[in-house]
Amino acid sequence: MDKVDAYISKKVQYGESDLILHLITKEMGKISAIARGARRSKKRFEAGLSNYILYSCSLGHQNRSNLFLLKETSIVKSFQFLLNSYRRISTAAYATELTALFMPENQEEPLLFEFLNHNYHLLDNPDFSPAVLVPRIMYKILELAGFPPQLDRCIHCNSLMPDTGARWGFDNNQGGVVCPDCGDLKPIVGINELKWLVAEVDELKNRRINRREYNNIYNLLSSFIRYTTRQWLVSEKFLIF
Amino acid sequence: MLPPAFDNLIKSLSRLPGIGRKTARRLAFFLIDSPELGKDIASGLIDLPLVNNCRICGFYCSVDSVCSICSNPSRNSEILCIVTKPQDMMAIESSGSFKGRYHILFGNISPLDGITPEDIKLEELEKKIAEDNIQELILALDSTVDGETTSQYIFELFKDSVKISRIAAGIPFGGELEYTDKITITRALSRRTSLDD
Repeated sequence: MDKVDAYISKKVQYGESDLILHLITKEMGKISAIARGARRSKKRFEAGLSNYILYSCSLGHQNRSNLFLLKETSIVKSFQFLLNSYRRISTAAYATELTALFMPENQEEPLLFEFLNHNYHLLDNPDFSPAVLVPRIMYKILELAGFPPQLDRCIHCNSLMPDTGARWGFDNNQGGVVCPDCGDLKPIVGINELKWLVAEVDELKNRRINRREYNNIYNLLSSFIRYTTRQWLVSEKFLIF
Repeated sequence: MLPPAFDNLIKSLSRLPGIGRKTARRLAFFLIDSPELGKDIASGLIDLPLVNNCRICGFYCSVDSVCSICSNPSRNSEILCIVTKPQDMMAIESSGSFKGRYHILFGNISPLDGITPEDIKLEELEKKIAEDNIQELILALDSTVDGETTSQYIFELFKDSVKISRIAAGIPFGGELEYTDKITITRALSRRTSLDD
């Protein structure tokens, strides 16, 4: 039997009383498990197998099935402040779904898991605005998953984006910004947003961007994620800025 | 081997939740031996289309289109209890402890399942608050993450126009603290009430 810490990214009702769960784990990446009788009895499954809770899961193997058998769960960490705000819940949902999208199946992926876990803790902290976290979550997950958009240098000629307030366009196909010499794309992003995007969380109080810059960087990353994954995340439409 | 009508009955019964093929066959044999019961069930099923949703709260009612609670003038129409599904309303009614009216949402908001505020009966609630002199909303939604999400959304939406409260969360009556999960204990402590209240 394996024991892993996991967040639940999706729950699907199966039969009369079972649940099939998609789990994001540190040790095994993304896995699916069946929790038999979970809808009938909560005895073995604390808090009724809810989203936005870090669980310790006891897993067993089943013959002739790719699904793990979820035998028991206990709560490692719940996030009460997160659950007191619709914005925080919707941001946590988006971070979870995005992580699940890029998380490899049955393969250790500690960095993505730790990043998700870190963001749950930030969302549970009253000092952090959920809106501030969204583009940074998008950028960091892309980076950790091996799809970092190149935002500081032109994707074609490698010239550095100048610190003069200039704005460059973004090429989804190439995955990076394009300087005016290399292409005539609609100018979207400037150096201020980039510095904000990659700043440490503690530095954010001193580094601010305005609403237009925020929308630009959010739309750029959202469009790039859709282009890269060819998928639309259902939780994205719940985000409120 | 079985006549087609009997076989069809077994097939239909086995489509009900919790009933497999074997149980369906057992029920069918029981119904064959109890023709009067079979007739009663059949007549109940035939009358099902006559059950409508109350145009005010959404609960089930007959063709009148307003349920017995919404049409009862002695109920307090200024206090609205918001519940997720009709069964929740029945549970509160059976307690006999609420004399206001209800609004049934028919679902909870769930970002991870893609259930949006537009998918539940919030527009109707907004209209009621604007037109019906509602003074208080009591949120009696499921004590689940999706119930909490829905409560928070409703609070954000109407906090400036109406008083909003929610039912208490904590240790159930008859429950023992020792066997209560961590989240329930945390909530019970953070939402504790004074004995003076």
